[in-house]
Amino acid sequence: MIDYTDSLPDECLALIFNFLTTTNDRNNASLVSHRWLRIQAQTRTRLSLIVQSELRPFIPSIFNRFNSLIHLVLRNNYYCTSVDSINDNDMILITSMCPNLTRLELRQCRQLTDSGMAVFSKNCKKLKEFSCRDCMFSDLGIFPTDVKARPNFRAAKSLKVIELWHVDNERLFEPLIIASKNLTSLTLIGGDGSWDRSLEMIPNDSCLVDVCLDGVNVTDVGLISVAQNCRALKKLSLEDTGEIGDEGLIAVGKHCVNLQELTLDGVDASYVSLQVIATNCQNLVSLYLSSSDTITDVEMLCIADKCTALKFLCIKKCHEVSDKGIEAFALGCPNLAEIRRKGVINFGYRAKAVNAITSDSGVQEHVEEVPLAATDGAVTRPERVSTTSTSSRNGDPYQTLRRAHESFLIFNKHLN
Amino acid sequence: MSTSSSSSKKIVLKSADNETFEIDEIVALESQAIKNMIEDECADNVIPLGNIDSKTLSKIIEYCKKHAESPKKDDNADIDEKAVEDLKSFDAEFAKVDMPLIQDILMAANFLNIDNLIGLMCRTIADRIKGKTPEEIRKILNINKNDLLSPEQEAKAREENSWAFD
Repeated sequence: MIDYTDSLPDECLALIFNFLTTTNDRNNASLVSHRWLRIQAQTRTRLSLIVQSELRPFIPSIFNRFNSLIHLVLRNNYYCTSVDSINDNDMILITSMCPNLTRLELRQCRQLTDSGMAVFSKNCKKLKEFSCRDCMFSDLGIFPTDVKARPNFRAAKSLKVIELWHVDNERLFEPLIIASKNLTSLTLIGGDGSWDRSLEMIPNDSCLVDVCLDGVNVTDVGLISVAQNCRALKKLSLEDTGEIGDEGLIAVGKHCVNLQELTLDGVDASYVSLQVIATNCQNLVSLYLSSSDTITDVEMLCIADKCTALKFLCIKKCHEVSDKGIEAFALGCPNLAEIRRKGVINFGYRAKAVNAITSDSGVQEHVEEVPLAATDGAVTRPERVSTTSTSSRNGDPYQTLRRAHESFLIFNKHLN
Repeated sequence: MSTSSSSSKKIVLKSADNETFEIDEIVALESQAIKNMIEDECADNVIPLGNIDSKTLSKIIEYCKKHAESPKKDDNADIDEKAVEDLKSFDAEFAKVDMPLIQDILMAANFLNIDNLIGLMCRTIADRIKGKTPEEIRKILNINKNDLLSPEQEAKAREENSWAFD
């Protein structure tokens, strides 16, 4: 009997492995033969390891076998409170065996210290994305500001994405942020650190396009620095961030004119700042506003009036926004495709519903004069309907049509 | 076989067992290798395929015909969806063949450089070994006995696998 795979080139076998989607299947296939073991290892570019100290004896053979890794995750169990993990020497060995890493994630590696990190940063010269979460090492100052002093080190230059979760001593990460001249994405989540000072050190020619500050201590001072230094910013997400208010957001509106996506969750913004953003950021296509009582109908009117490029609007837990505020979008925001509030208001569907109604009543011409027909109503995704929402929004077609008719009346009112 | 009523340009393929197949050029162009030959003008009237037997070749032509006929993506979205469904069920039926023929088709598709068909055959093999033990996989594919891992090597690989996640 002939081996059906004997005459197939390695690329075909590699393709077969790519079609095996579960770890279990790939692991079973790896045990089939020497050739399959080799090809499985070659096709594996991402590896996630549980890094308890018992892993130690297997490190050389694992990384000898998986020699094509570009994405490595070293993690402990999330709920594991023990400090048991690999140590600096293990980290040095691992990274010396993965010279092509572009993304490294460290999770709960509690025995890693600064010196281990220092050597790792020398080993991973191609690193583009670095993410660390609940680690005990203090200092990424190992990413030196003076590249000449350590000619072998290029990580900070190549880094494009930094994610830091639950960092308590932010000052020690300052050199990393300053040295990463090519950084495009910065995400800071949780922790007790106070980030204003670090954000003030962002170079004024920063190429950051994506900044996410979630549950960290940042005030308007930090945000103003981000706004002033990151002119290329396209995506800004502020969630549960301490004391950010209108002042910081006005700076965003003034400086970040390329902004396309803005998320304000638990941020007390008012029309004072939203007006500046709406006026200046003419490329804003997505706006998410959540958990704020300063967002009211007045802010809705302002957005409807000025955000001409807006396509997606999401409003959640903003209790001061009434249907009246939403009605402002009947005539505003010509490009709006969807509003998510208590359910999804799909504008394209809306326009059809209105047309269906009005063609019966013979006044369709009126509708055609309206650039985009819509207000509140058609729920296309019932699962998004919160329990407090009115039951009338639950996809009953007659309700939909009635609401369409109501909205048509509103248009009419506006037209007259 | 496989002649078409249209008056488009014809290509003749000759299998290893000297059977000839006249097909529309558009069908032949599904093969990147033949496409290159035609573009480089090094294709004679008859293209000899000395390593593909007639049984395999007729299957491959069947596949290329169907794929050449069905509308390409980014045409009308409505047509697209229906055509995609149709092609999907054709592919599923097409792949219902035994392992030796899958191997032959895969080899030939590889030689002729027909990406979609290579993908279909590899996916078919993957589907057949999903959920199987290493021993079952060896059986399905007649894996060469000389290349098996020793019990120690297999134990080591298993241990490594147990640490590694996706």
